[in-house]
Amino acid sequence: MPLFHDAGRKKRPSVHALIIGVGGYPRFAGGRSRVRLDTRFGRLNQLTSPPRSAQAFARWLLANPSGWQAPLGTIDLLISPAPSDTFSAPRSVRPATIENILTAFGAWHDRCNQHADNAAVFYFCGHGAEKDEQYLLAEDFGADANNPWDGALAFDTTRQVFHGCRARSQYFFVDACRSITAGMLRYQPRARVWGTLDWEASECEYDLTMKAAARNELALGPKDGVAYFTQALIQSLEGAVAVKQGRNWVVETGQLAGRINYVLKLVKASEGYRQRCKSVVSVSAPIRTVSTPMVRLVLNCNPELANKLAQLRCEGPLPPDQPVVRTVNSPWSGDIAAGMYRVKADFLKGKYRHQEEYFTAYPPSHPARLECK
Amino acid sequence: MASGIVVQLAAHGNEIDNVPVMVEILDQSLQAQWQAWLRAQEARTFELRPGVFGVRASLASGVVFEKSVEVRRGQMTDCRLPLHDASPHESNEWAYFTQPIDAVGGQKFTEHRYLGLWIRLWERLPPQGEWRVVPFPVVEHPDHRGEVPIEARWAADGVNYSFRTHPAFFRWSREGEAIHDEQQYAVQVGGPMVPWKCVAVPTGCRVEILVRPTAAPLGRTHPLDVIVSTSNVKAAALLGFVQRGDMALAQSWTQAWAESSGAPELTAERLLAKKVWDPPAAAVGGYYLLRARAFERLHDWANNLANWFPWMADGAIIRAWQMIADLRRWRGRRGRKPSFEPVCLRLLEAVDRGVPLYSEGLRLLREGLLLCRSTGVNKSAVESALKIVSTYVEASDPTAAATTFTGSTPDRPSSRPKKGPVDIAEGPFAYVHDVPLAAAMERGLLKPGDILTAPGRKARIESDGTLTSDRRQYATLAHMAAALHDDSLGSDWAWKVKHKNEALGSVVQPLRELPR
Repeated sequence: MPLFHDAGRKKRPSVHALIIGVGGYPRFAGGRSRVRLDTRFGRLNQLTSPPRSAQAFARWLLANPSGWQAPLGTIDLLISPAPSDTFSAPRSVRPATIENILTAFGAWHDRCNQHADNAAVFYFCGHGAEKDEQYLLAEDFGADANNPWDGALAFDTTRQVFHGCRARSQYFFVDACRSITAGMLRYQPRARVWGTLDWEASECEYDLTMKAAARNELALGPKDGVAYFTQALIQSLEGAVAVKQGRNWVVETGQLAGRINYVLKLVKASEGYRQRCKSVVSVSAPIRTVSTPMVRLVLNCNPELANKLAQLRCEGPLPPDQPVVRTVNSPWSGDIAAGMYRVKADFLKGKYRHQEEYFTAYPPSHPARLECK
Repeated sequence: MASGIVVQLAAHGNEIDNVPVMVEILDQSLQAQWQAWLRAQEARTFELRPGVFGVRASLASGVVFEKSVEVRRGQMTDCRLPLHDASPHESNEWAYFTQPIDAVGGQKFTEHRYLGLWIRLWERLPPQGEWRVVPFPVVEHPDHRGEVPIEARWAADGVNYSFRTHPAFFRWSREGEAIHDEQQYAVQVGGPMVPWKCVAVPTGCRVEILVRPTAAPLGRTHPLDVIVSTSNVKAAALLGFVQRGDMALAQSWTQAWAESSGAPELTAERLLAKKVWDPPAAAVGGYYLLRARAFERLHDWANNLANWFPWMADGAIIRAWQMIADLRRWRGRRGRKPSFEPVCLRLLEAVDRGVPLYSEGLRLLREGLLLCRSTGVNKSAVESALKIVSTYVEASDPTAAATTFTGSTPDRPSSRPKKGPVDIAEGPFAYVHDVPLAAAMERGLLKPGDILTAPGRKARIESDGTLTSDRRQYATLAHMAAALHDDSLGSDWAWKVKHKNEALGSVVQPLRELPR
């Protein structure tokens, strides 16, 4: 089976990723099939965000092959776009049917299982539902009218099974809804599980399992854009949740889980919506080292009236001899490199006097307030 | 003369002095020059060379305070970090400091949807495990200093309750072990427009409860946050770290805690030194050690927790997972394989004991039972247990640290929960914030025709509990406030009862006091 990316590292310690994006569902409204799913599942539509989100995550991995605990080894990518979607899937990408997902999952497991120092990365974006566990809906969900759930992956059980894999670091990211429909309450879904539970198999050492939404809540994304959780995930892995350890900036599993909700709010700040991620982490461990991360800065004068009159001059990051100097209007918001800055406020008119303050821009964001008198 | 920074953490709440706060002093390249765990009201001096430094204080709730400070030669510079800003009220600091809750609210109890919101306490009695509604307990102080009072503080953005559940009493087993037979508790909140929701409440300790309008988006999210904790803020903070997934800080703090008590690493015994009197804190420590895969540090203690406190499902769950870890060490070895049956029995025992105190326990209980099912041991018992646990999981909110689920009673969890007023015949209850006027009339606190006054407003109470003002009729005070675009009129605290010359809030106050 061709892979989206194979660095040819074979059995050497590597990062192996399985990435799935499902936007096209033939039996949902707007799908290719004439047969529609019955109403007990509520109104489920075609999605434009998951194929783009999956592709964005895969491309980001490809563009950032280093800095991980081991170099990037393989990426397997499964994408199903909606029929009316203009999205064009790259070559070597297979449709995300349940059989393809299970086959790819098995092959990915085998790649990850080759070395204990491998890192396994699983990513899914598409429709999801939750009852006693979360179910991820494959393209052909509902194909079997007698058991529509045959086209879904029972995620939590499958996650539990995968613990048996030798890869010590296992990262699972699920960008899908966790809502429940009235119809689902009446019976127990019989979804597919990859593999079988083996009670003798230990749990992996470094577990990070992240779900984009809390139970019974939605995971959202813009039309034709990358889903909000995925944006937050990519920003976090780029350094938005990094911590300085010695001379290095490091993204750790514990920091990623603990701070993803803050990053998500930055991603969606304009609309003020609060999506709540839920994570399970074992021991916190480094995922990757990154270069100096960017920090979302919002600098305001207090009182607010001073904003209209202030001319801000910002020097930094310190301590280089010649730090970048910016002259901006207040309030000032933008992305700046993590570091220490000195900000000066001058007032050409009004009652306020010259003010000067230092501030520390530490990821992911820094709301600063300059007290003006 | 030395130079440096004097960091002063500022907080006001009662009993929050022990809340751990990570303080870091960063140099200009943001490398940490100092990292130390301080207590929430502590001041500490950090010696530094002259320069500019960033000071960061991180709470278990995830809130971070930052300030940049310039240190001059020979001077100590003060850096005061106002941790109290994280909480809207002093009495709620325990929740906002230790639990992963959003401080930015927005909703208020004065909104119409929260009218008639009530709270009551359930008790599960051994051995049959029947749940019944009971008054809130008034118990003797453990140090025999009289009764522990039931306390409550009301505000439109959150109501805080504090009380002590029944004290630990024990009997001796045949083997000479002390067995604690406390009851299990659950608090339930609901309302005519609010789905009924239950939260597990620890036994034998002082309990703190914060009920507040949710900060999460309304619609699919339950409109209330109910945060339950014990007065052991160290355990609450550790639970906050684990619940938020911030295992890096959890590991750092438990290590610092161990070192401060002279141990090379944190052991269950040290973490849970007061296990006999504080089993809920012991359970928190157990869950942390399971997450951190530090099974060996649980020692025999997990077995004790499971055996000594038969009312608590958490002990049996922690012990079961310790046994699973032990069994897994046999993998690949020769000889007779150990049986999985004792693990299954422990997990089945946990299900018999009722609801685990913590969401982490519910998750581990389900995962453990799935493993049991895969072994085929005790098949039918495991299937029935899984069915029960799955119903709780479906109705639960795993973002809450204490086990939280929707349901009409604690033994009837449901994803489609009941809404409505509570039936007094089922047992005592209290209104959380605003009291329906009809309920106040039923209790004789008000009567039809009473006149309410507020600055520039006057309203008459009708016999059906509605209000008439300027010839217009309003269903509730909240409706009137909305129609008049005046939020200040939405609460019963804004009005006076004319003939009594007393605030309406004070008149209806008896209906807000927790029943005892």
